[in-house]
Amino acid sequence: MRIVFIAFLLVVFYLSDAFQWVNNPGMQLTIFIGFMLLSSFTFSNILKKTNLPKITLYTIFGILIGPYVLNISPESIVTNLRFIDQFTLIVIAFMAGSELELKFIKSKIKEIVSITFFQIIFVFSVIFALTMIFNSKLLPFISGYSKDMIFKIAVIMGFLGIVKSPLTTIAVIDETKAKGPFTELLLGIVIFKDVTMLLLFPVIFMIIGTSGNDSPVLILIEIVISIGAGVLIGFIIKFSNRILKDFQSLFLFIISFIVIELSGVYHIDLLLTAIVTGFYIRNFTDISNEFSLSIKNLAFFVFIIFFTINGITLNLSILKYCTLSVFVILILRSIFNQVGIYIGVKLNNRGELSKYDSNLIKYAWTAFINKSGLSIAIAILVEQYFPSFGTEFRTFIIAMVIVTDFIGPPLFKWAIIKTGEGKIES
Amino acid sequence: MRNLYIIITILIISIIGTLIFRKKWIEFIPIEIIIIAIGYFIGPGGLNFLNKYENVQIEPIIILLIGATAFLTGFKFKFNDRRIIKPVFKLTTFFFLVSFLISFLLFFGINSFLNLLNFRQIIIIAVFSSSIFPVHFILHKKKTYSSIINNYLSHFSLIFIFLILLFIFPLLIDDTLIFTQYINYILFTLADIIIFSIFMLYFTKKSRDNKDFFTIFIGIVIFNTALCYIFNINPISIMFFIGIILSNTIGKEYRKVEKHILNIEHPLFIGLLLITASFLILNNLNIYYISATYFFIHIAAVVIPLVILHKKFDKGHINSTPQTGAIYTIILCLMLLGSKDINTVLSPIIIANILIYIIYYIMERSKI
Repeated sequence: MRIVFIAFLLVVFYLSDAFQWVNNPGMQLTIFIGFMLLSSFTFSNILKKTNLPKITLYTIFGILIGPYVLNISPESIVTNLRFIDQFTLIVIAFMAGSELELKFIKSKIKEIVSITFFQIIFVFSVIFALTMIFNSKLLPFISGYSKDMIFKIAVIMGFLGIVKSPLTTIAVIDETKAKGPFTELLLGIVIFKDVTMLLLFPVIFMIIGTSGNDSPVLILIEIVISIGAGVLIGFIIKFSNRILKDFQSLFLFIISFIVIELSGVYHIDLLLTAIVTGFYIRNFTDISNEFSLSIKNLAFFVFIIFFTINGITLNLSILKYCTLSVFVILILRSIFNQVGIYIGVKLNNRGELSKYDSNLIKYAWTAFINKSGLSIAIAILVEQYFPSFGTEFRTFIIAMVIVTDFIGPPLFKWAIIKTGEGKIES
Repeated sequence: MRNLYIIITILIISIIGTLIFRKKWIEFIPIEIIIIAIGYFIGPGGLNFLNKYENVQIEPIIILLIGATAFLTGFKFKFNDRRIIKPVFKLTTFFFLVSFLISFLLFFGINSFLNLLNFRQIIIIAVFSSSIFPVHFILHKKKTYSSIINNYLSHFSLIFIFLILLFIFPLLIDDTLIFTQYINYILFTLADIIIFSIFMLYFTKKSRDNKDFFTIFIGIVIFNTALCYIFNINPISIMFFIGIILSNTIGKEYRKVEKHILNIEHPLFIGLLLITASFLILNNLNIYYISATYFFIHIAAVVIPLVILHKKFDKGHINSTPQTGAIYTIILCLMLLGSKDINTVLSPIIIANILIYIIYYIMERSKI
């Protein structure tokens, strides 16, 4: 039935588009949103058994209806829907912030900090050096840029190499019903790393001069204002929760819009503000469950549209000459993530390794493969700050995300089963 | 970003309106009237902040409002007690035919002096005038059935309106239509109802949670309503009948779906009022003449059949309330067609309805 439904939608949409029955841009946009919601969602349900994350399946569907395969997505309409990018960025940051539980971090702080520290140092250094040495051979779209610009790109690449989304990690843990010290520690590291990166990225963007303010005092002021704005928004959400209980998702949509507008006017950092809001609600209010549910409801719709459009706008021609670079970076990243884990574990255990520590050394690397979530949010920012190569850069990052989305979740799932902390869904 | 400002404004007003609606914060004036006033004020007649013709991204919201409210109206029509369907159907047929006849004859007669409307406009305005829903029909001697009959009567009245609109819609938008084209439109409409009802039923049964349900619901409403506009078929009647089919075939899942849907009913209705009001035209003197005529004819068209029924069931009591939600869905649906001819009669209907609503509201409050 689902296949029949998708075929029906494709035929009807193709007919309405091909015969230009839709000569009203508003109606064209409407039918396209309806088509995307229904078909992308149904497509992800059909391929549910592949165990791929839904966001990957939405992207694949976008590629299928995009210009390189079926070519049935009108370009003007896709442009009209690009406003969804910034909403996605905020939703991801809200979710990441709300996943950070202070109590858990405190209990495992030593291991979490040491492993995160070594992973950041190793992965950043290797990818930064790789980009500086091989620059246009690694990233063909930066050919002809000045040394200063290549340095900036190398810094961003280095930090993007570190980023790992907690979303897919949480999805796999949830699916396998995993519970135990191995799973908890990995989740802690992933979230801690995510938050560290979220705090570091605004600083990096400011330092490399994307906002035009290079003064450390101004950077500090912007960070303080962003944190303050985040707390204030968290405060507003907390107090509005009682009155707006049934409309919390809608209210978060409105709040996201206000944050986007404020960031434009007062130079507030979007990511930092949203992550602080999520963090504040999780740790300092009693509405974290409602907030988490509302933001997940909102994310559900936003992700369908965002990732389908992502697939449509994916420049597959760039992938032809970037595929090797994508794999080189991903392999090096995995190796040096593992080195970081090894050193972190060894430093915390001078004597003989327990089963839990050997499991960490054997399987923990599988949790750091996935790149979706924050990487995409940062790719959106890079596209805005560096319009000259932003689209190609974004495509490159999305290519990495797609590859890791194919490999990461199945490997992490395998690792969880191997450690005995999770089970396969019957 | 201007389009987004408008969408955010609609959302904010819908949320605040719903909160006021639920809490009854404002007692001295009906919230519907406030929303209509705000809609007119931010529309092209006022600040021109909300203008469908200038803001492409509002269209999906309008389509969602039209399709979803038509669907919800149909979804509420569930045949729980099949024994009373036949008598209530007979009663509604009588009610509707008498009302329509009175409305048509009165409009036709008055128009021959005033010469304000053409024949097509008279037909539309007479159909609207004879739609007296929800009609409260309370039989004292059969108290057990009173609420069910009341519910069925109001819904049958709606079925009549949506059925008539289904058949006259192609003629409203294209008066040069030949017979074979008309038959094609009707067949296409029936095919659409059947196909999307099957899909809606299948996916509603398969949905695991409210996220799954709403993705399919919003997707089908937007896609199908827009599709209807593209192929010039009637979206509201189609969505209304899909709603009826779903509610009567879904079985035990009905309560679950009803629970999901009831949460969005108020915001949808307020958004609908807001946008419908933004289309209002008040700068033409003829509008007020038509409006006054409509006001009196509509009251006559409601009261006369009520009196006849009252005499027939002399131990019973019959009551009527003003036209509500569904009428605005139909008005907005027709307004979106952009036909000046049709829009000329829609604004007067809204104005007359506001007046009737205020009178009804004052009368109800005086009872308290």
